[in-house]
Amino acid sequence: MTTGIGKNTQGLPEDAPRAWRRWTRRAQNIAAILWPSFLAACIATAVFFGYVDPLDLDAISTPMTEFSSLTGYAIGFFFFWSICSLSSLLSVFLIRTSRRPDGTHRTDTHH
Amino acid sequence: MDQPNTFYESAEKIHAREVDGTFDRLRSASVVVLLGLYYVLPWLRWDDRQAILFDLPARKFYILGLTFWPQDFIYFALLLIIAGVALFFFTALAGRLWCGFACPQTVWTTAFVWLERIAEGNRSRRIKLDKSPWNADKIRRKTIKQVLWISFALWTGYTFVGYFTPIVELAREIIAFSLGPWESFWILFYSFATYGNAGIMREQVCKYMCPYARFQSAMFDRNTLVISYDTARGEPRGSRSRKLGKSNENEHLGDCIDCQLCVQVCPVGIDIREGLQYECIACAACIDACDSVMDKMEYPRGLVKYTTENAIAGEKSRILRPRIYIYGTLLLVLLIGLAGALSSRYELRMNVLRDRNALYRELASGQIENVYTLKILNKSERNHPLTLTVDGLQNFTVATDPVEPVALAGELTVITARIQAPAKDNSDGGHDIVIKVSSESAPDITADAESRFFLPVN
Repeated sequence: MTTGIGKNTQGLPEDAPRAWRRWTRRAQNIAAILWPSFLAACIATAVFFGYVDPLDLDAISTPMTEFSSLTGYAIGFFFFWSICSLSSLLSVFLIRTSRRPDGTHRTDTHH
Repeated sequence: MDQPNTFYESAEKIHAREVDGTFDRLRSASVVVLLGLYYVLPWLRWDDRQAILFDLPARKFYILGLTFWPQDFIYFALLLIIAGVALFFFTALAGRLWCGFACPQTVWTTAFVWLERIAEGNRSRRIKLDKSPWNADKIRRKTIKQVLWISFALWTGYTFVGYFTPIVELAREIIAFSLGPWESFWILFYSFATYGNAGIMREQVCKYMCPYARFQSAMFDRNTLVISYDTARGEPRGSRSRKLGKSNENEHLGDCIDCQLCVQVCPVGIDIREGLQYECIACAACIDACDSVMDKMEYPRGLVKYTTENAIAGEKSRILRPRIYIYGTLLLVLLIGLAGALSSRYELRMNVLRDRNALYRELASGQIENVYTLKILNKSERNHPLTLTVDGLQNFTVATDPVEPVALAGELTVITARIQAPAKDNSDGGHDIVIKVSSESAPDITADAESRFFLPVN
């Protein structure tokens, strides 16, 4: 099993088999934080608002302001997304800063 | 290596070569059907409303003749479980069928590549165009592409929001520039996501963002159909010299002529000849490409084909195996369960609350009265005038407020019911009763709920 990831693609002919793009570590981090949390937030939003009407929440939470149910759903979704992103952020941080089996730090050198 | 201002280590874009063959036609058909459904469904009508509408403010989902309420969450959960089991079934059977033919990422990427081809031409022209310096032709072609992409993405976002806001109304609002802030936001959000995923990121989504790509191998076994290169037959690979024509006997070469077509058609940029790789989305473009070459060479097809690990190893291969039967049976049972649950869905549901202020009231006539609040949910789209009966009491009478209660279509109706029964005909203390409502227009449509009826203890 080979994956080809990490192979140098520079200087290959036009039809080189591995002329493909590869994300930087930063791009991978951003994707690993935002995407799983987006999926989790979708599930959380569906389950939560399956049982709770945002207008009921509005009635018991902020007596001075009134918002439409669409605003309620959007606030709920972005709330869940941000909380889940925080969790993903910590996961990525912990994985990226752990020690490799050979004792070196993952942050020491780039792969 | 992190570079400033770029998310790509190498900026070279994969331009997959166009290919024709059985699997590519299957995928095109799948793309047309799935995208067709997506773009057409919100325009269909059912009676006086949109056939499929997820009305979030009213908290009602309309799907054809059915209306779903938050109380019907169980159906949604059941549907998700079925989707999960189906994924297990199809992955165990033939690997990543989902990825190659049905995943929205693949479907929309295919559509975006079609648009790209319209604007920029075939693969070699696109590669040349990307390498060429900016000139009038390049600007023109790239502009056409962006216009096509952005329009398609915006139409996709508009359609998406059209599942939640009546799509015709949405069109009127857009034309009148009176679109609500949230509708505008979600149209742009979804358009941007479509453009980014299908236009820009493409196979990177599968490689870096998709969890299924990483865990699908757990559903594989040695009898799963996967796309494989027949190493024993193909190697040693090598191009054929013209002198020897199509024959490879003298050169001791395998059947692979090393034409690189399987690599050029691959949308994720791998070489299938290196074995099964997690980037492979099982689109089978390499099978189509290789088969066409084998035909030209007059070699038998199938140098790259769907086969099992066991078959490659020369062992006995069983595609229909216990795992498939178990997943298949489970899937069938769940599907029948969902169909059964949907067809026997109650149109009426009722909750009964006893009056909390008084256990009972003694009326001048000698009757004992208990008061109940009935909350009746009518999930159907017709009104049901109600008849009320009580099990567990002798010679009772019921007075309701309103006097002639009607469960309104698609609404929660609250009715006060005063149930009266003579003390002489019923024993003292508490009685378990069942309050039952039935529709006068359709007597088989009923709902009931248990409660307690109290008489004084002498």
